[in-house]
Amino acid sequence: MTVSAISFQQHLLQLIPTFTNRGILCELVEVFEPILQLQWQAKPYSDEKTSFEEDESEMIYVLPDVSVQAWIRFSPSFQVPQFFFQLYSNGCFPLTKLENVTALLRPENRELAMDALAIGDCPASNGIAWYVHPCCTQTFFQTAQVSKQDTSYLPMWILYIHRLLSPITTPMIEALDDKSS
Amino acid sequence: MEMLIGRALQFQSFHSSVDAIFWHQLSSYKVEQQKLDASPVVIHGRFNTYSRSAISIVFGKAPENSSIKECIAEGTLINANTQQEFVEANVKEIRESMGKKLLESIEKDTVAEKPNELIQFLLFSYADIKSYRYHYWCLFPSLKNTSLWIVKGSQPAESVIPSNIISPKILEFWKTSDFTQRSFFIVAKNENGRWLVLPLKELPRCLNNRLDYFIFVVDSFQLQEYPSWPTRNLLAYLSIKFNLEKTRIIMYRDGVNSDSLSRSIYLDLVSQKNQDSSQPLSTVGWERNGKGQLGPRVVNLSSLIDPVLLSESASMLNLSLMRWRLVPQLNLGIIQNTKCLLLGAGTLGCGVARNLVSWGVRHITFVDYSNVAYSNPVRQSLFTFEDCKRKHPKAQCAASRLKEIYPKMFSEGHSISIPMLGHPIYKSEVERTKRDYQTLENLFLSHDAIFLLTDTRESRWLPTVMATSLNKILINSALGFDSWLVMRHGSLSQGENRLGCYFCNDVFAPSNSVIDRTLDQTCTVTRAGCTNIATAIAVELFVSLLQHPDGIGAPVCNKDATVLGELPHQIRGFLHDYSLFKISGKAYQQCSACSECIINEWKKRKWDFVLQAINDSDYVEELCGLRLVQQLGERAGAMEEWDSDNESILA
Repeated sequence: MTVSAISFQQHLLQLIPTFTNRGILCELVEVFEPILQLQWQAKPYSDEKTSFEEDESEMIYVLPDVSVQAWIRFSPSFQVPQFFFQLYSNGCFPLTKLENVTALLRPENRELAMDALAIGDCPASNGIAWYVHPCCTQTFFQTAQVSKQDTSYLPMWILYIHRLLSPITTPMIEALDDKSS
Repeated sequence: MEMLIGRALQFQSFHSSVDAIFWHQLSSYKVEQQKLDASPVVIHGRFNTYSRSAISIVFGKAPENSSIKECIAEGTLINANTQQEFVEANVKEIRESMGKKLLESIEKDTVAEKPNELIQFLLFSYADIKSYRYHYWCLFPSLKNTSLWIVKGSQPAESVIPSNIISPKILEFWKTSDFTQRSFFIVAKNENGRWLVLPLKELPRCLNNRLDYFIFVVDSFQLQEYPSWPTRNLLAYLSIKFNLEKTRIIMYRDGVNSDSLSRSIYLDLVSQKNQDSSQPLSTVGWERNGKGQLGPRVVNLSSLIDPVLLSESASMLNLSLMRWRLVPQLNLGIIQNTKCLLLGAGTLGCGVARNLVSWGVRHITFVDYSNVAYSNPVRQSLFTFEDCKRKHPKAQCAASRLKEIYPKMFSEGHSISIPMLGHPIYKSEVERTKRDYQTLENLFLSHDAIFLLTDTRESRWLPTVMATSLNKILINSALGFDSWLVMRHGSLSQGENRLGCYFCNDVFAPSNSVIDRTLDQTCTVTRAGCTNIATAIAVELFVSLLQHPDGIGAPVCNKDATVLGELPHQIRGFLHDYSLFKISGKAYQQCSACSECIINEWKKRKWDFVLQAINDSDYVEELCGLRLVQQLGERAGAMEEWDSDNESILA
């Protein structure tokens, strides 16, 4: 699939070193289309300070962060990137209810997220995943006026995703910040 | 990190991160290859300096060319064949066995060749594949009762090592060595003062030659002050194998592509005999579960990968979003829990059923006496050509088709006839018709809402009587060629303001409308769009009615009456000019179907009343008073005729 001078696959390939430098596990998979598969740990929103307790005299136990599995693909119908994700609490319990997902987000983002999130077939895996509805993304690109040929096409879009899903997507932003600095 | 100085080092445990893909791969492996064999299976884990003490568990062996950005821990999966086997397993023995393996690696110094033997782990599981439930427990073994390590000094790594020289060398080391070397390595200054990055097996040389060296350990942490599990095992190795009393380590926390060591921490450590060091070495390391307790986890992935549950949650999502985003007061539960009885599984029945399913109704019963005909599939959305060939009964066919659309649907069909006024019941048919009637009555009792979707006027009479008497919601829909009607029948609870029924405007009881008629007069011939409009409006009216606090007793309401808007009585639409009218009318005291005398008689005599009403063509009109009304009407008409005769003479 070619999108003007830079193909979507090339945009994805540009993201890989940026993300992996920041510890985000990345893999480009080809399932009829190029899909970037990502994995990272994220600290969810919480008013409480991180607490820990002694497991035994030499070991301490800290509550695990949220595990994030994500996929980035190009939506052929809407002609915009599409962000899919699965969240696991305690490393293994999938979050499949909208209220459980939005509870992890900053309070000021929750309403936006509820408007933009939907659940559907995971593009590169079995099962379902949450996704940011591409019609909302279309609106964003119309406002931002970023060209598909621009190297900042995906980074700008990731900023939009982060606006909805912060702090779950903070590692992606930190990776982009590291690159720009 | 100054707060640690003088204190014994404590370590953060690793957390396992296991996703649906892993369980899917395990399930496939179990079904296709492993079957009942409980032999250990190779797995591996991936982590890096940013993974916050989490290790992603991956099915299968680590690929040789794994990305240099990750550390790999090799692991073993033991999958129990039964839940009992899992529950009754001797976890202490498993733990000690892993600890013994770790100790052997240290004592025989196979760690020197493969440093990542210090971070071997175990995953013990039971996969209940049918119900998508997975029990598992991870073990990250460490040795207990080894020496304690006291922090003598701690500073940023950049203050002790020139990061601009070392960082590229670390990257080069990672590129050229395999994954077993990455988690622990040495940075040393050789005799010529040059900084080198060396594999861990060079430690004896560093010690013997008294080189200036630091042992790097890749540290994935959540809390800055506490190094993670790999550091603990490294220090146990240094203590047991080399009997070191002091050491200098770097908690390596920068990305391997980083050109600095800004996140990494240098620790100057001194060994101190643990007060328990006289005790034999034992093993710790079972992971805590989701409740923070030492015990296995149970992951239920059905909501993520069970197709039936996926269908359930996905189909409700649209409605839930409607409530979240637009109509927060929308009561979805009452819609979902209302049991609907559809009398007629034809064009109207199929349309209503589809719309009800869209609204989340999960209990639909069909009543229809006929089989699927060749003319049906093009207009009746629940039937196919194959159904015609096999002459499937419509009611049952529609019910099973709904289940194909939504597996968790409760739907069933009954092929029974509805006794009708004007269609006498002959002696030979009495028993069968009585059985059908009793089935119908039981269905009325067990359902909350009735949809009248039959194709004749007279077939709607008995359901109207029963629904009014039993105070059930009744939504009636009828079609003309290019017109349609949707109405809700009134309820006795409305008192003197009771809304009328389908028959309240009639001065004759319904009779046989199909006798002595041509084909086009017996079949409902209607424009295709009429059905779609009528069925959509019928269901919308029904859903709005459910939202009203008075339910079936709701009066005719203006647009703000319910969260979904208006609540009319009757809606009549005309396709020829695309017009729509909302009409309301009160119940008629002499109605042939919903008047009190009819209802009371039915309540009292049930089948006997029905049989008499059907077989005695004058009975209903006499009972409800319509016969008298007709007579009065005839008299009034005759008098008018008399008067108009006068006028004509005058003219």
